Amino acid sequence: MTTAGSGSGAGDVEALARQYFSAWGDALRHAAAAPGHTGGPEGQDSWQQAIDGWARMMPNAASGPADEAVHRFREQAGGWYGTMQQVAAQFAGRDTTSADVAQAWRKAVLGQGDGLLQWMLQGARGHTHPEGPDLLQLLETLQRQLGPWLQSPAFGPGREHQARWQALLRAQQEYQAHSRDYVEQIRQALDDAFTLFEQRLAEHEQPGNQLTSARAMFDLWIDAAEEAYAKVALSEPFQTVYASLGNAQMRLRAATQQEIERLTESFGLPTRTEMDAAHRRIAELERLVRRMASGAGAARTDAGSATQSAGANKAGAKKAGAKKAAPGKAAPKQGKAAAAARAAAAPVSTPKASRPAAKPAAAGKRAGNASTPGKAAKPSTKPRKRSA
Amino acid sequence: MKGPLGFNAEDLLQETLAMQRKLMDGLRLLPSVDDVDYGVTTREEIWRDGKVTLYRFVGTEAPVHRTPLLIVYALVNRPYMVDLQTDRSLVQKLLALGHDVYVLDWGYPDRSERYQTLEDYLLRFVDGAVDHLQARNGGNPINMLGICQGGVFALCYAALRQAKLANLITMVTPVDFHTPDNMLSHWARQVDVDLLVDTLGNIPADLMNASYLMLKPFRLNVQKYVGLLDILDDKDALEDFLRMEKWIFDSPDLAGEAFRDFIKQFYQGNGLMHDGVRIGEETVDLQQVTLPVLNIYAEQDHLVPPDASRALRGRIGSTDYTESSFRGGHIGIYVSGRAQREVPATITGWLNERAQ
Repeated sequence: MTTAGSGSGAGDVEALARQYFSAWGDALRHAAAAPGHTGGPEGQDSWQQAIDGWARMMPNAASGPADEAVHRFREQAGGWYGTMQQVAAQFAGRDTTSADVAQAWRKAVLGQGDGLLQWMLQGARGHTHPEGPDLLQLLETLQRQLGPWLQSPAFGPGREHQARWQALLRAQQEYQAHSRDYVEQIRQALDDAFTLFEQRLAEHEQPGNQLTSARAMFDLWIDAAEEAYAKVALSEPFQTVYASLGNAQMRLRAATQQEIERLTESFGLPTRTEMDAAHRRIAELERLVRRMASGAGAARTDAGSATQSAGANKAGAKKAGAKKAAPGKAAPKQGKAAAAARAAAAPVSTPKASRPAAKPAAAGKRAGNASTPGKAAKPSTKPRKRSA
Repeated sequence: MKGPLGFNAEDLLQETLAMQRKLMDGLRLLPSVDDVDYGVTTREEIWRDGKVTLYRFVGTEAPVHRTPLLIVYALVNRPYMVDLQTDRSLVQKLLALGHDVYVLDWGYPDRSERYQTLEDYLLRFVDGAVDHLQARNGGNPINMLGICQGGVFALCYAALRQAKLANLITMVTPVDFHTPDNMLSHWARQVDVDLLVDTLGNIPADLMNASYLMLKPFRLNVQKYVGLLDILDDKDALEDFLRMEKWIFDSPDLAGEAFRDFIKQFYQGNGLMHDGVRIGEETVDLQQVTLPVLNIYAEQDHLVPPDASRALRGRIGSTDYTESSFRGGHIGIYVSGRAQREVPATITGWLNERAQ
């Protein structure tokens, strides 16, 4: 395994890291030395450069969850924290007010546009899977290219096709409208959070209760932001906007999928709909078999109970026999078909060797009921994710 | 200094330098952290139906309690949370206390399982596993521990097949899905779940995870990763963090029909509060649950608010109902030090009283 601290390049890596960090420290010192300085983009840039550089220096060996955590730190968390450091630097060692600090924070966050909110707004941009295609971008391109044709009345042999495409683009426009409503809700939550942040800061103005680090400011902001967000997210308007956005997204996606199916079908490829139909039939058949099997089993149990009861207590035999007669008779009615169903539905009993439940082995195949006797016990591993 | 900030430029510089040192440490340490391992207890597969597997955990000592304890977990995450690592394993604690512990692993549904319904999950998989354990247990009823959504399954199952169970334990289990503080339910209320499932088929894990992260977006997306800075020089803590990350994002896609069923009947219909749940052709009547029930909930649970769990009181037919609260959150109840001390002991004490 390669590590940053080993090998001949380790010293270079450290030197490079120190170079980044030095620039970041200088920017902070500059902000602290300039009263009223807003912390501007240059300070934020130096922080971001330091964090980006740090992440780049991470060897490829840092993969899996470590890589993901570094990515999230850099993309989502780092920006917020770096911005808070800049704001803290403006006021370090000076008399100030909660209003001034809150205002500087608001300015610093909003000054980056949607930059710090990208991760929050992703859900409003059509992604159900991070690796999936950017559906909206694709449709916007199509709209630009096919605009005039799509806006004119549909007629002639291509009428139905044109009408479908027009409906698809209407779905896109509706989706964009709902997306804007959602973004507006998030902005509202953020606006409330700034107000609440100022109130929370004011609670720390008493000597002995002051915040003692940029990190403490940051944590206070997180508390305020969560509280403000929760209030908006639990409101009736948010519920409506959230559902409308999700529903619009699904309508758009369904219309898109329909067009893709038409295209693939025209090339003779099997479609999702056909596959689904087959899967549905299999599931229904499996369910039917299970119901028949459990019905047969219950009938046998009832019949067995009746026999046992009759044998155990002759005095009550007549009564018990009569009571159980109906279900007891049902078993022969189901007869061989039920017995065969029960056999087919029987899951696999697999007493077998134990093993430590450590890392999962590759799996993910659909394991049939009767296909795994004697198979070693392995925790399933998530199969490779599909694209959206 | 007047105002809310009590630090000067030198303090800030020292804070920054400390953070830079942590980042440098991380540069050395992070690459040496291998892909995290999880699931510490030896287990054996004893039954399988499709992708659903029943595992028996093997302790270092033979179980003292003869009645099997079956853990039924949620569909939305992997069940290895109950056996995450040596010092954070509900399973190991239960084994050490003498239980014979089993877990039902749902696997990772693919598109071919899209049409599996709640009926399939409860009356095929859960029931099949219970039958198998009963057979191993001389035909006697078993104990069931349902967790989160698995607790909902366990409650429904108990109402439908109570004779197969001796005792029921529900943990962080929602019963009233419409409490005012239930954000997830609040959002789901107006979603057209038919359109969602008809369009997506199975529900992608990433979509579910994005929704969960948006329940507390600033804490879960921002603050948590800033907190990573604090442990960049501590390999054990880093591995714990990454193991938890692995579990959080290692989510199966959800079988579409079961999802449709669950959202409609529970999140939207609040069926357990109105006796309106149907599993296949059968109606769930919680008054039919007359066996002993222990209901454990977390006091700071943001996914299943305490009131959502406590609503079970009075809704079941059982006169032997016990509630136990845990000071922690939805995840802490599996892995925190307090949980390791309190939860297995509570379960064991409660079961022992009923084994007399």
